[in-house]
Amino acid sequence: MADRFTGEGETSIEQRLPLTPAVFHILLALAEGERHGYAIMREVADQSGGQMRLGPGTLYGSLRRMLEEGYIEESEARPDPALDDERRRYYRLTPYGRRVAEAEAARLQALTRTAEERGLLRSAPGLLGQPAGAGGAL
Amino acid sequence: MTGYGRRRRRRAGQCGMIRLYLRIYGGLLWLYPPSLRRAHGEEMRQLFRDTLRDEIARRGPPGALRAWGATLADLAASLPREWPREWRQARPRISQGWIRSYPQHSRLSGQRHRRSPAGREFTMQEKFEKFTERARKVLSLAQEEAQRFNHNYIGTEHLLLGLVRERDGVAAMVLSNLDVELEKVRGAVEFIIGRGDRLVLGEIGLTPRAKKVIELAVDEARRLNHHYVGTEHILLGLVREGEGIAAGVLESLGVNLEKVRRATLEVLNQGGGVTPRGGSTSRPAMPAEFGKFTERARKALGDAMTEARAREQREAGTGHMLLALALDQDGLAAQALIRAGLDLAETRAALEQELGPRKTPADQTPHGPVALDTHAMRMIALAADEARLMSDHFVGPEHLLLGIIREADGLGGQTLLAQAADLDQMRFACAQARADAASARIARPRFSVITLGCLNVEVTRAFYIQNFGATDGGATTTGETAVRLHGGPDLALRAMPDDQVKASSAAIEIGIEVADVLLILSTLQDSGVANISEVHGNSAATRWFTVPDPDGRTVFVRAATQPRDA
Repeated sequence: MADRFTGEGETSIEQRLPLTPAVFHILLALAEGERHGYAIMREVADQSGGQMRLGPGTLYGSLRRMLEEGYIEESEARPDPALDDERRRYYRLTPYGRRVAEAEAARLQALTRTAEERGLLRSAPGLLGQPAGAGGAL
Repeated sequence: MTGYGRRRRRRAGQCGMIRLYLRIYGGLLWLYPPSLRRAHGEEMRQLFRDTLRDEIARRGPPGALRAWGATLADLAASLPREWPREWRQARPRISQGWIRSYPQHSRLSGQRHRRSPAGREFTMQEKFEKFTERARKVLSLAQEEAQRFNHNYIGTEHLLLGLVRERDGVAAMVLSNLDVELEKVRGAVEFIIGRGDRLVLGEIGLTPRAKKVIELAVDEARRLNHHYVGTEHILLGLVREGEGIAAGVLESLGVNLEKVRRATLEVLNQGGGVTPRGGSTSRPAMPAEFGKFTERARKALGDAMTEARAREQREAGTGHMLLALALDQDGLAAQALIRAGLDLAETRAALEQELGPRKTPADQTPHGPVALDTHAMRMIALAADEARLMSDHFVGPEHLLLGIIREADGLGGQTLLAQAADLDQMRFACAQARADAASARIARPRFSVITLGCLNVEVTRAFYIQNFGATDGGATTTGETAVRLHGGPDLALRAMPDDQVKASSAAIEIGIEVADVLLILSTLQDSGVANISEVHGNSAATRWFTVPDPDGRTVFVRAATQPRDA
């Protein structure tokens, strides 16, 4: 019964792909360092050229799921003097979350390469090539 | 002047407006499932407020409309996603919020780390590798407890319940000394979290916090220079994590986390089944070798002390030790005794005659300090010496047995010699018992059939039969041979020409677990049977290895497993 505890681990990453756009965007936003919710939202908007706007429900629904999956963790709460003096929760990638993001990036790269080969994409891919699918279900 | 006043009035108006909007949004938040609201509701409000401020700063009052539009669209999009998840999960409603509001949270969270101190992250599999049987049992019991509560996850609270339930573990002793009882913990968990309303079937996962406890347990074992991870390390991990529900439950039972930690370390430092409660200062110190004892060896030592106590004797000697080893029928020492041709019942009877009858049954004898006599102390030193001779980094029951026979003047040694056992014979028997245990360990994977496809089936088959005590299960079809390992899973060895190897891999059965194959192959490698030089493929289903055969030719091995019939 407890033997499964020896078998748990690495293999599960592939099973977690593909990630939803919201989750992948958040992972990307956190790849550079820890951020609080609003900073994540702005970063996601920036990196998608304004296409991807995460509202509170989508953002925190995703964050909650990612916390549960162990992709991210909460880091030390601290005031962000630029905004106000309230304590905010900061989130950061776990090593596991980083690996998941890497795996997803590799998957997308392979897809992009296929698209290039078939003449759907001219040269170096610009942005992520994610369609503007609003939100993205988890 | 008037401009300034107007601006200030406008700003004041905006503040009032923002406050009103925030209250409206706060009301809308009630549309979300309670678990999300509790975990992130405040943050969602903050986010909405920041968005409002940003938009108004950029576009003036019409910005507020934009912010509302985006937020309402998001509300409409996210509600249908959040509710089904809530329904799917029988996860108790308040757990998240409860953890978050736990008072120590904000302070301690900054010190959290996921990495091992070595800077390298362990995989879950590595983490469980060094777990003792008991520690694995704790995980299994934790799962049972989670299912009992209809919880679809294994959290720290379930780990705590598992620790309490695994009565023979060091952790359980510590906890019972601190009056942490199963029913109390269950009651507290039920009070804090409640029960899920749906039956949870199948395997359930560890929460991130519980995983962290496991990581910390591994780290605690490393810090203490223990080569295994036992229940006590899990308990220490639980204490160190300090923020989970388990920590809260302990607190609600009036148990200080520092107390648990101190009591655990005390038991670890002072000996197996001995749990100091009152004045323990006069107690003799444990020999230094004790740090290297396996959990089983420590249990044996604790049992030996219990045997002495049950007879109201103040010292435990090698006779008590041998009796404890002989009573642990599944232990390596007992198996070695059997292998050496001794009758366990006879040994026990001889010892009981010498030691006298128990005055209290073993299970009703309280744990308490019992000294070790000089024979027992020497026996332990000799056991450590045996471990050194066998290049083992630990002292297990088999070493203790050899220590007993070497300490020939002790009661244990004399009993063994009287039954015509000698040291060399016993050493050989220990080696045999270990080999048995090693092949039994191979039987552990929950997949019963392992297919090792390779080019030269005859060579490999002879190889396994010769080196691994496997018995031939007879040829089944052309080019395929089934071999049954001694007490282990079936090994189907399949001869495959190189060009067909790839083609047939597509036909491999589903539900294959590579970890199990790796376990077997690494055991083969450990026992010198196989030298796995290269991993060729690395899909979730199969792996490819090259293994040199006895003649130095390269054997191409496909490793895959089939699930056992349910």
